[in-house]
Amino acid sequence: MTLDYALRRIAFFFVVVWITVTAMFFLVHLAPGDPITDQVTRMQASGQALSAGPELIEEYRRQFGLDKPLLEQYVDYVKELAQGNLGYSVTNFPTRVTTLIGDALPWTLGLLATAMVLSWVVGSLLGGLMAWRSTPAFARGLMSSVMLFAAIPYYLVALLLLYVFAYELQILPTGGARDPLGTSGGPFAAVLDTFEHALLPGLSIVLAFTGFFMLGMRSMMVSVLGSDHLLLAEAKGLPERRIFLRYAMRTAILPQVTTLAIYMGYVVSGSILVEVLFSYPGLGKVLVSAVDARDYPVIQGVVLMMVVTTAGALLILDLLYPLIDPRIRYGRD
Amino acid sequence: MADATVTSATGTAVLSVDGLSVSYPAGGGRRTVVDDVGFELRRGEMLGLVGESGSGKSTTAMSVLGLIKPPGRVDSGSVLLDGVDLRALGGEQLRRRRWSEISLVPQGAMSALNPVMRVGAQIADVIEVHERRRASGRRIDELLASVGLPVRTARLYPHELSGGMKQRVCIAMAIALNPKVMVADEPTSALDVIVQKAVAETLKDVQQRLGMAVVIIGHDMALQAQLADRVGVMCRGRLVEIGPVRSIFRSPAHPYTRLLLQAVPSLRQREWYPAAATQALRDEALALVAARHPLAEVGPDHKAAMP
Amino acid sequence: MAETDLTPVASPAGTLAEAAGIARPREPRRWRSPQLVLGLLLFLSPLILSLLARLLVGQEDTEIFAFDPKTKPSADHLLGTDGSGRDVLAVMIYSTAPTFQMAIVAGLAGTVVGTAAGIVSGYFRGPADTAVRGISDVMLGIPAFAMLILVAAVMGDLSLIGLALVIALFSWPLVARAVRSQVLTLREQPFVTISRLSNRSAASIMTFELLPNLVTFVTAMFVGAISGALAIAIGLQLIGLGPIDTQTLGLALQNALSAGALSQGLWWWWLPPAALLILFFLGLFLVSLAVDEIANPRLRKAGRNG
Repeated sequence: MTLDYALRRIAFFFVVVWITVTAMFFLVHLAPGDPITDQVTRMQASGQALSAGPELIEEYRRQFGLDKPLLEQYVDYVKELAQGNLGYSVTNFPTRVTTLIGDALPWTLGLLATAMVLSWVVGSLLGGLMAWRSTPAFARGLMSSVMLFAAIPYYLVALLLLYVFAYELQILPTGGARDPLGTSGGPFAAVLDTFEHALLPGLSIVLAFTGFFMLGMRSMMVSVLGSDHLLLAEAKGLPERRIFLRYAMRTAILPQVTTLAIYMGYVVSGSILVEVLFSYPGLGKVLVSAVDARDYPVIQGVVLMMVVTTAGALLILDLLYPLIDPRIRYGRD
Repeated sequence: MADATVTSATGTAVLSVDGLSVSYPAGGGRRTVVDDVGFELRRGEMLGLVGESGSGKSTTAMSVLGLIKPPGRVDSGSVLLDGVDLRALGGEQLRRRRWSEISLVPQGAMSALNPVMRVGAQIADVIEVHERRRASGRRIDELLASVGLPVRTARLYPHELSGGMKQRVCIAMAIALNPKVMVADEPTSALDVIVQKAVAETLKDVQQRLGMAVVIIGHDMALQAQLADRVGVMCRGRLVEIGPVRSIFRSPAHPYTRLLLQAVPSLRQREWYPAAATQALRDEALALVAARHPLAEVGPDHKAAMP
Repeated sequence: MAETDLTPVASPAGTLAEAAGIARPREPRRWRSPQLVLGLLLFLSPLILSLLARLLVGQEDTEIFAFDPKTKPSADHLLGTDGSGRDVLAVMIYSTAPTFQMAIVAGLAGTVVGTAAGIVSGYFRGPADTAVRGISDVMLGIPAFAMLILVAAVMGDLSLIGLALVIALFSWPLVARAVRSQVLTLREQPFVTISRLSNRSAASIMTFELLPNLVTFVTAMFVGAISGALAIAIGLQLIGLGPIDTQTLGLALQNALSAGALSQGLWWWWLPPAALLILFFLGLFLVSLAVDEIANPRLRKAGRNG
């Protein structure tokens, strides 16, 4: 039963990935216009390639296997993919897509995982407190204003932060992940520099998602508040803090775990704009540069990467959830 | 029943409730759902509180425990536990007395246990908090065994237990600190009949073994007759009659009590009361309740709210 | 298919809680809440004002090099001019309505299709249900924004409405999924059973019994879908995707940012569209909070005095 459920769930993950890969492949190849022709036209326009337009196009087409029938191309593509080969970038030809992604991924994951976990912890706690009966009114008011950030897309929050802290007050860098000139003063200065660069992009994600997690937690908490086991906990003479943490939060937080997993996956794609605004060298930056250049192998690779993280987060959640919520058993339908 | 309980009928009160009124907002104003209720619970006795749903019996129990939540409000009255007025106590002092001196067996144990904590941990919780020491596994196993549960129960989650088992867990939890008073709020009404009987017997058993004083809330007169030493009858927020079980059953004074007793099925007396007569009795009873008479002696240790 | 709704059902408020007065009887649903009014005001007044302002400000002010570029706000140009010599205020006036139109169309399309699919799927179960659930499960695993980037990049010259529909393509499965779970509980209610037993047609039951009971819920989804669509559309525009033939607030913001308005200190160029968008989002947020509270009265208590 357990194994069966896990296997089905894993199979489903691959179905999602396969559907995305297929959809992307045909979307790109059946679309009007041809990335290679586009690219060569672009190169000609900027004076990089001179007269030999048609020959260059043919050469590129051969290299990218575009001269074969579509179905054969598709099979080749999936085969390569299965071996972890995402192909080559069109604009930076000899560079593999996997290399581009490999360079960018640590930045994205480092920034996002930290920001998401932070906002989850803070947001859940504040959301829980906001619904809790003995939270003072002024604290509640303060929390509501934090919650307003959930209303605004994080990239607008990022824009405001960027303007105020980097351009007006000039106390934080305007972009990048590290000082381009390097830092002097040993490893500590380097860490500080990395932290300074991550602060604003991270903060804009934290602000937006803290409010978001608060909202979810608040409504879960409200539904837990009316329940009998809280009343019994009070009758048991337990201290308020213990009731809040072990009886109220503990039951209300479980659905929040689901939300975290779902958004952990989404945020990888959702933060694209933050990376663009702050020129942060993550996946989002790579994707947008590729979109600008219509570098389809790179676009496909990055989107695939994002699908794998999103679907992967859900897969992990589904496999682990029965461990954290005793009420859920594997294979229950 | 054992002699001890009979003699205790004259014993001193461990819990005495006086002039208790609770109201809830309704329409534009407030509606009084518990109206000037007073009674005494004597050491070692089991006092039944009966009445229809909405008669205010559960609300009375909750206000004794200090668990009325806004918008509900206790308007007046005192709840003396061993001479200390629980209503006058501050939050921290009240918290310390809860469970160690007065515990609760909740209505609907199905939802009263924390769904994501193991049963043993929920019992250990009260021991840790009130006795400030770790609860040994043996002590918890003994508690569970004393209410007829297998030892492995401590390791289970509430959803893995049957309704009857959950209610037993609640009883084990309620006696964990050996409190002076236990309030059992309809402890059996959510269970099916056979389980009901077994749980009721468990309750009676622990009460006699530990010599606890118990207030047992319920609407089942027959069950009360088996369990309780004395019975109080509530109607529309008022306590209309209180006295020893025998005397209440043999010579009910208040028409409302007679009405409740008529509703108890009996094998000897198999005819139905005529609907019109029942309705007349009901009208008479409600009119008498509405007149808000104080309780007056109608027999030995037996009072009724009548002129 | 995998069962992904693992959210445990909170135990229903029992009688103990009722006795203690925690579970209040349901209050009548009230549509008049200050949040709702304020939210609608924030959301709708810019639209109405912008339509009225069209009478005062001609569209020629939004032409390239109608004026000197990058001039500071003044009496002539209340919000200054942008890098290509357009009046920023005029651009905003002519951008607001199309931005709205796009968001409403996307929200409406996603909600209508999703609601219909959800009702059919939840009511009939069977193959329709399997299909809807399968699609929504797959869609949940795919990050919509990343996919939309690819779609928008491939379909170079999308119209504004086209963009709205593409966004709806990715939002309907979530609506369908949520509506379906509502319908699953509704269909077991006695009034639906009775309708079924009395031989009424499925279409009539779905329209006259199920739909009216879903109005509040679907409204909440609709508000969410509008703000989601707006956030995604503007996001795409900031990357430089989506239509460039219609003036929208997203396009105005993108023009400003890509021309370096931030680093050149030309705040009047990028700040007004950004601020107006923030206003929209706050308005939508308040509306959705209000609708949520109407759908779930218990939230109301927690939000205030508790």
